[in-house]
Amino acid sequence: MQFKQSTPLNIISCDTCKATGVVGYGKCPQCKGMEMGVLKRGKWFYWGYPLTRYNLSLQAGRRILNRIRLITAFVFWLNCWIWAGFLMYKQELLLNIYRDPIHWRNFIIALDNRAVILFWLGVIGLLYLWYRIIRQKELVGAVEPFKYNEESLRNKKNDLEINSWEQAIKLPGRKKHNIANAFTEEALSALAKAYRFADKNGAKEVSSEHLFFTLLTFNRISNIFIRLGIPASSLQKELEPLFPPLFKEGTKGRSIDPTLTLPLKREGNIQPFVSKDFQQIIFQAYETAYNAHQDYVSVTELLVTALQATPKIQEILFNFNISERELTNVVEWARMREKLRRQYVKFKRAASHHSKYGMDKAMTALATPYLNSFSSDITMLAHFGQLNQCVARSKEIEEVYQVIDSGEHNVMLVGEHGVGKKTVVEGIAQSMIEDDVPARLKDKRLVRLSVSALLAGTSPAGAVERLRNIMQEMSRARNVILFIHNIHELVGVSAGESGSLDIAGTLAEFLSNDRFLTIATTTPEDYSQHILNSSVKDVFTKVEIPEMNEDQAIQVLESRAGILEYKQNVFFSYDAIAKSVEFAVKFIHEAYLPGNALEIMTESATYTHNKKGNNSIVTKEEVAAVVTAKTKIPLSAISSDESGKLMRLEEEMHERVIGQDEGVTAVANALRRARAEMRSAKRPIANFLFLGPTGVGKTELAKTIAEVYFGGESRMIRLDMSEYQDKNSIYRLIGMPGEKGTGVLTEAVRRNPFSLLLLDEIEKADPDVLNLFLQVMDDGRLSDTTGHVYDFTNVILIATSNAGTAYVQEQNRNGVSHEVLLNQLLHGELKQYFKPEFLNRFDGIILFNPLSRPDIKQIAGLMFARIAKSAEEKGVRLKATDEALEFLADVGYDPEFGARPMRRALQEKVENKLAELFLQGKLKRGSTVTVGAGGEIVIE
Amino acid sequence: MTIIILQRLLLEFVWDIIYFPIWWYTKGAIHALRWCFNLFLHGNENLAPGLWLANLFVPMFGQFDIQGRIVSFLMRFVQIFARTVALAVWFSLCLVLFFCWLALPLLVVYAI
Repeated sequence: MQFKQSTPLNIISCDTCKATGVVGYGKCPQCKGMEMGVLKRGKWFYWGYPLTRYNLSLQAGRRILNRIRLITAFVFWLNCWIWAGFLMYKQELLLNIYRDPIHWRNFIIALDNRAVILFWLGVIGLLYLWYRIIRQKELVGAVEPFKYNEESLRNKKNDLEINSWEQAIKLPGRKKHNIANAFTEEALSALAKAYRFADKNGAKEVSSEHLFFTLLTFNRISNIFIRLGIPASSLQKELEPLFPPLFKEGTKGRSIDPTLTLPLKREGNIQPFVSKDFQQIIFQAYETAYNAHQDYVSVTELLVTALQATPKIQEILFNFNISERELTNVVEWARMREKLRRQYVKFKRAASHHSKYGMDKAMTALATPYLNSFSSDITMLAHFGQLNQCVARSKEIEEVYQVIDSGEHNVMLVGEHGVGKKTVVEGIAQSMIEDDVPARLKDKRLVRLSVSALLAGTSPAGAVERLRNIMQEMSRARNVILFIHNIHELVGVSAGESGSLDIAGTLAEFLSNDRFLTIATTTPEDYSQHILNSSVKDVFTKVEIPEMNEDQAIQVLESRAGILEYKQNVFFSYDAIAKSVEFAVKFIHEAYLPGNALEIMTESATYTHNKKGNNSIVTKEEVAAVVTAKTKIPLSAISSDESGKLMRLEEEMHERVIGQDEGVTAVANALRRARAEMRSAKRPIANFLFLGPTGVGKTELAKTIAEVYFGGESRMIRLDMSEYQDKNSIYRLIGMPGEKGTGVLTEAVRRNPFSLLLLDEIEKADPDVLNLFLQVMDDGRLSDTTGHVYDFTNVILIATSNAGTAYVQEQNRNGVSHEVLLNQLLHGELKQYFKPEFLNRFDGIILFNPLSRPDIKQIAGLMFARIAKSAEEKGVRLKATDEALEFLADVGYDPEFGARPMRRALQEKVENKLAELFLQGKLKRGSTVTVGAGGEIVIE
Repeated sequence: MTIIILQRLLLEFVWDIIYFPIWWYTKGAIHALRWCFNLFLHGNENLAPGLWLANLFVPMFGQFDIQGRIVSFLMRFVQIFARTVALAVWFSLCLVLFFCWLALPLLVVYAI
């Protein structure tokens, strides 16, 4: 696995000082301390932070000195004032001023000289402290602001060219930029630590490996790796072999390891230099920060660039299952948290200027008491910070702004449930607080009309009346923007008989006056069903809110993770978030991204808190467990128990199904493929057609699969296709036109997406019904009559048929081999019943063998065992001798009907007799019944 | 090397103390001026007499009838006057703060 390599920068480094910026203890005469630099965007970027032992120690010293200065100034100030206060107290001056505050002048006159001096010395201490704090802030530079028209800039400034240090030195100050100033204190100390680590290891050069290793000791970085599910310490352990120790730790301090070969032995006082790789990392980190619109270069940028430069470490990370995409996404997450935090601070500041009373600054607006009783003010909710932040929807918000800027008054956001229509509107409300909106939205209130409040306790005519009052009030107020969530709930409420005035008409009348702005939301389905046929349609401009893609949804989840982590006291790993989105896309089809993924994430947090307690990490396993509980689809990692069970699947199935090895093996293989996720995720798990005469075990095998793998026969959706013999029966399968949730098939799969679909006696169904299954088998999806798509990718589809039974039986009698017979069936007999494209879509067409005499005997044994089991519940032990089984096999076998007569035989020969014995009172609890030859029953 | 570093740190420390008063009246003064100006802008944002002036003839609280317009005009006039005065007071306060910055060291020297 290789990380994406960034194009190396054309760095000029000083040869005289070996890119350290110093010669001896003075500045390098060649580069004047600029060490290394690169020409970018018409500016000269240089690194003015010498990485040498001397400078790094000096910097460390400065940090300590600064701390000492601050603390001393603080203590000095406090001490002076405390002493001054103490002296005043001793003079009892404070008491006097309390008793006689009018004559305060006496207080000053009477002050002890020492107290006055101490007071003013304290002031000096305070001023110095102030001075130091301000100066410290002054030192911090920043990454230049990102320019969007960089291309054109580049063309303009092409004339600047730097090939030598003389040229660089001559440049005016505004064209020179010391990027070290943009590095955070933490990033600089990471570089220093890397240098010291290399020095300690006796390395000639400081390399990217050294940097990566030391980066792991920083909190911010170890947090990133915790999100990726790896403790930084275990990663460090893996990396240790990269740095063979040059020194041996001994009792007499450190000494050079005598076992090392000569070239590795170096004098201790030769200091390492910065390698070319390391130089690239420093400048690339700055570029990364610039391209990511960051203000500072922090340790995360160093991490990403250090990794890109070190294939060895990439390999190690690969062994830990970390790819570049994951790492960059987690880094992006860390950045986003920081950005959201800053945004929140900025927002809070903006909110403090915003009126709490819904009045605009110029007081032109009107109070709206009537509207207020039917609505809630979203801008006010935003003002008090009660809305979630809107993430990854800037494109849609921009589109809304464009519509409003173009002079339209009414916008309708159309999107599926859970795509975040309301969040988009809330995002707009938050931008309104910050005044970061088009002029027409500035200084306004965004008010959400409550449809339930409007309709509650009144007739439709009353609702129309209320709406008219509200609209009139809003027209007068002039600072209200109306938000109607799910407008389709209003449209269609009629004031009288059909054709009379309805709410839609009133809405359309007022909205077309263009007196105020309105934002409404609806779903595509309701838009086509309700809005398109109503008068409201013409007044609104439609803006589509599409479902998010996975990356956007991940961003949304990351932005919400903080709140959940705080509430539930757990931490989300990146994997958990990515899997929440992945599973939501794959398995939760009733809602859309990001709504469905958020639901999974919220439940996973609670689940983890309950299961693992406080401060635990939500991993993909917890997410899988939550999704499994919802859908019953096994998703967690395969345990050894389960893998053993999967490997023994055939054995377990043969406990119920006798013979039919081919069918059992095919099914078992399909199940194993599905569980190991070695199958196409865009088709059902497997499609099988079981052929064969009646009573050979086709349906029994299907039931066995449901029992063994899906956890019970109730997980089997069984459709007797003989019930779908006419064309109209399609609607029974996929629902009546226009009615949701009425399809037998679609609803069953919606409720149990992970199940076995058994189409019994499929040859009896109408050919049009069969056509319906073509796309199910090919694409794993089916649309109902309302257009809703259902997912069939977690279904095993098994169709059984006894088409061509007579032909099969005849050929069997003629002794035609199994393969030849199947071939003949496919190319001849079956074509009468099924189209070739239908047959072609099955993964396996399995011809069930006719049952042999020994098979029948085994089946008799199995069926007898079932009767014995139910007898045991009554306290009666039931046994059968071998002769009895032979007898049952004789009676219950019919070459034409397979094992089906066996049930009748058992009923007649065993069950009936037992029932009689029960009724006669001859069978008691604890008695043992043996069935012998000829069905003779002996009670012991 | 340690001694050289300590020497240098000592020098820097001494220079920092000498530079402290110089900074106060140069870079520090600019810093204080900028801070006071921002404080003034903040006040302007809250009081906004300019916005009121721009809306002088727009009736308040949506009262578009003649009486409403007359009352609004008068009220706005009073408001603009009051807000301008308040802003002027705010401005002088900011200015006083800046002069405090300049006067503080002198006061300390004088007092001691």
